[in-house]
Amino acid sequence: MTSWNFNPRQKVTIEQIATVAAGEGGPALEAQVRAAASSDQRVSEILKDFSNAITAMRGDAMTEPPADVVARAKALGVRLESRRAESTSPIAILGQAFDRAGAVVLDWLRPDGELALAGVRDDRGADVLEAVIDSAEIVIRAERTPAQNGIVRLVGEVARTDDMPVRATVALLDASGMVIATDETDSIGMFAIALTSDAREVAVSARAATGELHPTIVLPLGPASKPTSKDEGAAG
Amino acid sequence: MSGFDSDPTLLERCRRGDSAAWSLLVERYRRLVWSVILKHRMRQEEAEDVFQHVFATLVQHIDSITDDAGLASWLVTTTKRRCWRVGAQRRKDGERARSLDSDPEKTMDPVDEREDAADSRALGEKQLVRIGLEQLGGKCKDLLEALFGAGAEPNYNLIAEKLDIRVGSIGPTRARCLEKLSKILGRLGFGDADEVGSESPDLEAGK
Repeated sequence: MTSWNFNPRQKVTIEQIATVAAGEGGPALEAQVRAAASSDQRVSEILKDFSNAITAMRGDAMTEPPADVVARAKALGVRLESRRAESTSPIAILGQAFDRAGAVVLDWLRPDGELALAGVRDDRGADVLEAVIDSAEIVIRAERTPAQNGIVRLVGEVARTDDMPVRATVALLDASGMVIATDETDSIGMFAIALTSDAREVAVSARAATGELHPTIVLPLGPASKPTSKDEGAAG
Repeated sequence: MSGFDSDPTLLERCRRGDSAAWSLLVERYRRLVWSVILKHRMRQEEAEDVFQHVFATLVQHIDSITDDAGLASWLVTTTKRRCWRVGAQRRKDGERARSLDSDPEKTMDPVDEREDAADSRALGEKQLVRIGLEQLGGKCKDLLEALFGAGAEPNYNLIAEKLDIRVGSIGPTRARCLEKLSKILGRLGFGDADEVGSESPDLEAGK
C-alpha cells in the first residue's frame, strides 16, 4: 500500500485516488477522496489527471481497427523498402561509373536458342534476342529498332518466365563502363532506350515483387570494336 | 520507460526505406485514423478502403510532409477528406440509381462533415494518451491497457495471470503506473491538447 499522504488530516493515498478515478472502491472511499480533493489542490489535480487519462483509454477501446486491415497497412512498408532499393540501385545515376560488384554477365540467345556471340549489334540484329536469368526466373528480350528519324533504339521487355512484367532499370554503358542512358520498364515491362554509337553494354537491374533487387545483369551490345556504319550518327 | 522514437525520427527512418519504422507508425496511428473513419459512419468495406488509402497516401507523399511534428493533423485531415469523398461518391451513386435530382449540394451532407472543436480536441487527447502509453511501455502499459483499454469490465484474475503478477499487486501497481503516465502526459501537453486535423495541407489534392 502506498503511504503517500497529501494532507495529514485527510490521509488519502495515491492508490485510493487511482481507485476512485477508476470508478471502484465504493461510495465511502469516493466521498473521502472527493473531500480530500476539495481541500487539497494537489489531490484534486491528480484525481483529474487520472480520471482524464482513464476516460481517454476507455473511450479508445472501440477504436481498434481489424487486425488484417492494420496488417495490410503495415505491408505498405515494402514500398518504402523498394524506394531504398531504387536509391541504391547500382545503375540509376547517369554519368557515373557502373558498379560491377555482384553483377552477372550473360550472353544473348537467338530465337533458336543459339548463342548470339556479337550481341544485339550484329548483322542479324533484326532478331529479338533473349537472355534468361534462371536464378531469378527473369527473361530479358530486346531488339535493335531503327526509327524514321535515324535514331536506333534498343526496345525490349523484362518479364518473369510466366510472362508477368517486371519492374527494372535498364542502362546503357559505354566502353569505360559509364552510364550513358537509362530507362525504367513500364507497367507491361517494356523499355525503349536510344542506342548511341558509344554504347557497349546494357545493364538490367530487375526487382522482385517484394521490391528486392535481383543481381544486376550485364549483356553485350556487340563487339567492343567500333559500331557498324549504320549506327554512326545515331542520336542519343 | 521503453525506447521511444518520435514522429520525426520514424518518418526519417521511413524515408530511408525502413519498413520496421513504418510498422511502428501504423501501430501508433491506427486507432486515430480508425476513430476518424468511425465518426463518418462508413460501411465496413469502405472504412477498410479508407484506412488503406490514408496510409498508402502517406507512403506516396512521405517526402512532402514538411512538418513532421504535425503528422497526426495530416492523418486526420487526409482521413476526413477521403471519408467525405467516399461518402459523396456513394450518395451520388445512390441518387443516380434512384434517378433523382443529383444536385451536388444535396450530396454533400454538410452535417456529416462538421467536426466540432470538442470532437477534435478529444481526438487529440486520445492520441496523446496512446503516445503516452507507448512512451510508458513495459508492464505498466500492458496493465493500463488491460484495465482500461479492453472495452469491458476488467477481470483481475485473468489480468494477473496474463501479466504474471499477483492480483493483490494490481491496485498499487495501477496507481504507480497512472502516476507515471500522468507525468508523461503532462510533458506531452495533455489537457492543453490542440485540435487535430484543423489545419493541414491536402496532399491528395496536389497529386
